[in-house]
Amino acid sequence: MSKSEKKIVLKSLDNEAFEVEKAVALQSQTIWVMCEDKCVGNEIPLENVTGQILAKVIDYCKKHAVVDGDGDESSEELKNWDTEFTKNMDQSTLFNMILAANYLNIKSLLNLTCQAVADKTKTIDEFHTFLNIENNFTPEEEAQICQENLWAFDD
Amino acid sequence: EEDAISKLPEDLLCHILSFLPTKEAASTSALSKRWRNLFILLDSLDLDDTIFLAYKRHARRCERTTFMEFVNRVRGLQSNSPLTKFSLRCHRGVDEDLVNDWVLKALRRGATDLGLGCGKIGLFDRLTRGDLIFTKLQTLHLYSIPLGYRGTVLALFLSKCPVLEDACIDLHTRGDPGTFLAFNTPNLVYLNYSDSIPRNYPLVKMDALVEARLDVGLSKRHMRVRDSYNRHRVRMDATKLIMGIQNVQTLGLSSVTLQVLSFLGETVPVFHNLNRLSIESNDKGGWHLLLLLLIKSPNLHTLVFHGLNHMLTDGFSDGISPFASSSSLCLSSCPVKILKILEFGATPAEMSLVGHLLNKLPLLEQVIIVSSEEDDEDFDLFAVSEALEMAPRASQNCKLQLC
Repeated sequence: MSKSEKKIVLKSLDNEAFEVEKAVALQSQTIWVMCEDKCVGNEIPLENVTGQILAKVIDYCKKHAVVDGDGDESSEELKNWDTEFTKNMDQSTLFNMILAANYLNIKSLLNLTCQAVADKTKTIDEFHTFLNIENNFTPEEEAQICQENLWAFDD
Repeated sequence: EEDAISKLPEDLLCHILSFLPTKEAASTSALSKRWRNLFILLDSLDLDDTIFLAYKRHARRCERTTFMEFVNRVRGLQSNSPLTKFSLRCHRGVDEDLVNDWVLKALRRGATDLGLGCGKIGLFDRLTRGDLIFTKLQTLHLYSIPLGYRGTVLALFLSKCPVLEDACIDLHTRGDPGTFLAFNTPNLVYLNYSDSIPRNYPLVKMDALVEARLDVGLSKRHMRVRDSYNRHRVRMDATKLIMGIQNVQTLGLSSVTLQVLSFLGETVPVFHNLNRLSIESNDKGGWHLLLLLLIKSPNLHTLVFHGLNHMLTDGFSDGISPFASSSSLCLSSCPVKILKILEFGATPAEMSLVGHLLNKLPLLEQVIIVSSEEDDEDFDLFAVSEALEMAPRASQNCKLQLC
């Protein structure tokens, strides 16, 4: 296989081009299907992902790619890397990462980012503060919801 | 910061909620209208009502009305929609018939993953009545189910789960041992099993098993018999269990399990596929059979010790006795390449055991030693490292790593 065939170009929504190893990109089931489908050339347009987010996705895929002779990465180290990766992401980044992981169909990244949201929101107060969700219930409605699911609110 | 997450499509919001225990997921119903009924759509339920125990006295006997109402409500709203995971942990304050109903319903809805930390053995009577076969169940976690003398019922249930791959069975029988337990589980890949050894295992069929962790010891009654008469009077037999797992590649054994193995003596089978063996130690258990096990593992690559403090109170005067007893000849044919010692305390007995292993294992490539506590004042990393570096080694290519 020649060198150029091992590389692939991913093009973001805002026309930013990223040249990456095929093994890195193929962790995305969506890209994998596109590559199988011989119609596309070496350049794959990704219409739902901005360059800023795609760069992060590629970072993740590079870290998780199993390249020949490079499979020594211990699972513990990988886990720590994952934690650091999502630790300081703000809400809008996490939102876009979840959408990108879903669109690109990278299951482990989707799990990681959804887990990160869940981890930051252990209590309902954290949900309100971290996610800044506006409570649009009337007090009566809210009381009714608590009554319906009493167990979820007793502690 | 703007509330972006709420704008995610419903299925992705549910995916986020699936990482929370159901109790927390359900509390998001009070966040906003968008979230109100999302948790009802979850296809995985993790219902844990044990947490309230920490705060209330006599809580074990409290009737758990709010919990029962909640589960019944969710069950009603979800009706027959497919379910992937169902996990239930609760105490006696929950009606037994209800628990049985919930579990049966979850299995009928196609749950592939079942976790139970409640209920009585009567549940398995109910599940195994009739011809129902649980063709979807792949993962089973049982915590502290009191089996008593009814092992055959659990055995029957297991035999009705033809695609079971992953089983964590913690029966935690403290008093009397059960009489029988059987594993007719030909597709089981992973087994984590804790129990006191029953009188017998009539059938153990685990041809696909890749990994096993066993913590099976003598019951209190066994120990009384052992201590008052002689050990041959102890009525228990783990032979078929050990024979049944002999194809494993990865094996973890607690120290009490090693004790039980010593009843098998020379009949221990050859573990042809065993690649990684880890041994958990505590100062109450001995390693009588470890040497024999090493000899019977001709393809062992990695040997892991979780602590070395087993034999200090076990009638041995120094650390190497269990290895030295049947001549060192055997260790010198042991193919282990990686030796890992965790919770290393650097006592004289431990040092002498490590020295012995270094001196005898001919193919060692890497030795990793992790000290028991980082800020242990008695533990002089440098001195320990120096002493071990000086120790004679059977393998010239062996790298030592201490941390």
